Amino acid sequence: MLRIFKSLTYSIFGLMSLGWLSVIFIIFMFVGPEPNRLLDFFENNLIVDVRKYGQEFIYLAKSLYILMGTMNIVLLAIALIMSLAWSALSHRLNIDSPGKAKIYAIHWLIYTGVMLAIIVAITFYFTTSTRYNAAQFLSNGGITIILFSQTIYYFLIYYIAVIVGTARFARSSVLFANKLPGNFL
Amino acid sequence: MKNFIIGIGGTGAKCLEHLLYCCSSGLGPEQLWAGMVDQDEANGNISRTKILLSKYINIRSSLREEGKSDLTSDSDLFRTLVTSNSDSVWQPLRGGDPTLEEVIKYELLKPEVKGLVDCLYGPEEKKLNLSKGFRARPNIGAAAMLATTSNVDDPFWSQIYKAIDLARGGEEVKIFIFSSIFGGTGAAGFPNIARKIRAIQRERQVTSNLYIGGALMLPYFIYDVPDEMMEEEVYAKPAEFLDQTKGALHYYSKLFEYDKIFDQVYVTGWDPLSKLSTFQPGGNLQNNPPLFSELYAALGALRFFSKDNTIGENQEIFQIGKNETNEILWSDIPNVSNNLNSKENLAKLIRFAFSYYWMYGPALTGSWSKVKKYSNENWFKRLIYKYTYDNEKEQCEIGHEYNQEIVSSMTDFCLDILEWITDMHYSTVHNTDQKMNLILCDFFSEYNAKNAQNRVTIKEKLNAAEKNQFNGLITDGSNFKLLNIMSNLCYKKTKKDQKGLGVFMDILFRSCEQ
Repeated sequence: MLRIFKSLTYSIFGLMSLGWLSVIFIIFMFVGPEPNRLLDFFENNLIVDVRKYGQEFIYLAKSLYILMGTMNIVLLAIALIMSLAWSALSHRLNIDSPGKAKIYAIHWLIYTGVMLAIIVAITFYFTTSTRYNAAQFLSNGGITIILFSQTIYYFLIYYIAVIVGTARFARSSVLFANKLPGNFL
Repeated sequence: MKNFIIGIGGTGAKCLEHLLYCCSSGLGPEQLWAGMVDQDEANGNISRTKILLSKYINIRSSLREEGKSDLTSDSDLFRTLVTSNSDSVWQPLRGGDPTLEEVIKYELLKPEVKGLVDCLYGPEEKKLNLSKGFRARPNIGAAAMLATTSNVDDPFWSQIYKAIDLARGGEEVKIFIFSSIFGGTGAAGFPNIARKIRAIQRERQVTSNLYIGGALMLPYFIYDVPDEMMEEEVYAKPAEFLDQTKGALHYYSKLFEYDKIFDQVYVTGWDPLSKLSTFQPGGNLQNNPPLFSELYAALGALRFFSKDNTIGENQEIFQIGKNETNEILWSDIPNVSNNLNSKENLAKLIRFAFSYYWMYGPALTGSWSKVKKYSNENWFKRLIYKYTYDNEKEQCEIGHEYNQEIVSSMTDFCLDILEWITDMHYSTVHNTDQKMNLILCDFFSEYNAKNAQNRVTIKEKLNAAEKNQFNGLITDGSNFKLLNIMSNLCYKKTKKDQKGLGVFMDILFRSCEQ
């Protein structure tokens, strides 16, 4: 049990390595839109020309920020739950003899695939939802940018957390985790 | 402190066998000299222990080689430094096929002494070929042994002289003797060898620091003698065991009353008697199974050697018995001392043998090209690669002949451990109402009581379902899994100064602890 707690601690440190960016981003989103580069980026790359529909971007931006903030909270929670769950469960994988850890690479790939699918589904849900007014004005390019950036970013957070949090004997089942030094963490 | 152990006869050798396994699990003292006494040197039980003794000595020395493969002195695995003579067996009567007549030079005796000998020994006893031991005739054995000399030049007796000299020098010396009360060699040797030692002690004027202990095995097994076999021959007859024991106990009670030969005597028996399915009067075909009561004798010896054991002025006689039910449980195994838990260490040794024999031994066997597939696994990286890496050659040397020898000797030793515990498990209770509840061994072994040379067959490979039964291997309800061993291997800290394969072996052994 102690080893599981240690793994969870290492995993949390792994999450924090990139996760702090997400936290700051979420805070910014809930503080509200302010004229800065980020707002410009959103206006120029994510949203269609709203003036065509008789709307002002500045009114839409508030809704967009809430959408992005909420979506990131959910994605961060998913990355956190999935990585911690793997770190804990890796201690229970039945790796009882030499050479068996590799077999569990399949399990890890499926697990990671499920995690990616959840991230994509959540992002897709938020960007197409009618619950948020701003979602109706997201351009196709904008949706693609959000989808890719969010997926890559949260996958990275999850991957780093999993690499450092996986039980030592299960490292061969996580991509490149077996390259870590033997006594590392 | 110097310790000496002497196993007399077939039973003595079998007790020594148990003791060696206990020593490999860390229950033994720091140092121990081991020797055996038997006229029947070719006896299967003697040769089995002789081989085990040499295996123990070899594997221990290769795993305690400073700078190469070193478990270090902290490790419990093969803790005891066991030494022995190049020939660990002392044969009281040398020469081919000696008879009692020849030994006591009967033809040269005066007529009145001849008459006395005729009263004590029948014609067939005088002419009995003693090359296969004393055939449960302690009266013959005693005469033969007393006729031999305890010569300082004899390799066996030179060790005893050395022990006594050490005692004279102020060092504490403990000598322990294993023997049966109902056999020939053992029953004859037990009091006589101890008395000879005491005589040498008196001769050398050593008054303190020398302690003698003994384990005396009362009848604990029986066998059926086929009618067609040896109707005329002299051999150990089970029907006479109890009478012989009665007579011997009477003799000992008188002897101990007048002479303090032993400081501590551990008396063990078994009821109901274990039933052996095969019978051989002696020779290399006599290969009796290890039995549970012999383990009691071995643990008695270890208790005697223990630093916690205080030996008083008066002679002490200890008895031990298991619980009153028909079940033999782990709780029936006594601890060696307050600090040495027999059950824990033996369970650890059995788990170690299992996991090494079927999991880790095969993974480490072979050249680097075969073994390297495990090189990215954490246990291999931290315990094998790091400690067998040659900086000059810039490669891992696990495939090197030196390391492969250790790997294969350990595989061999682990097979012996598994055979020993399985054989004891089955044979102690075979054909009786008793039930052995120490380990679960049906899934990895087969037992054939009739095949004396190969009673137990250990499976070469186990399938996944069989491996999964490991959690029930030690029947103490602990649910200790192979996964726990793998996990421990990856997390247990190595000790300073450990080297080479000694690191892996020690961590694997420690990983088997509940």
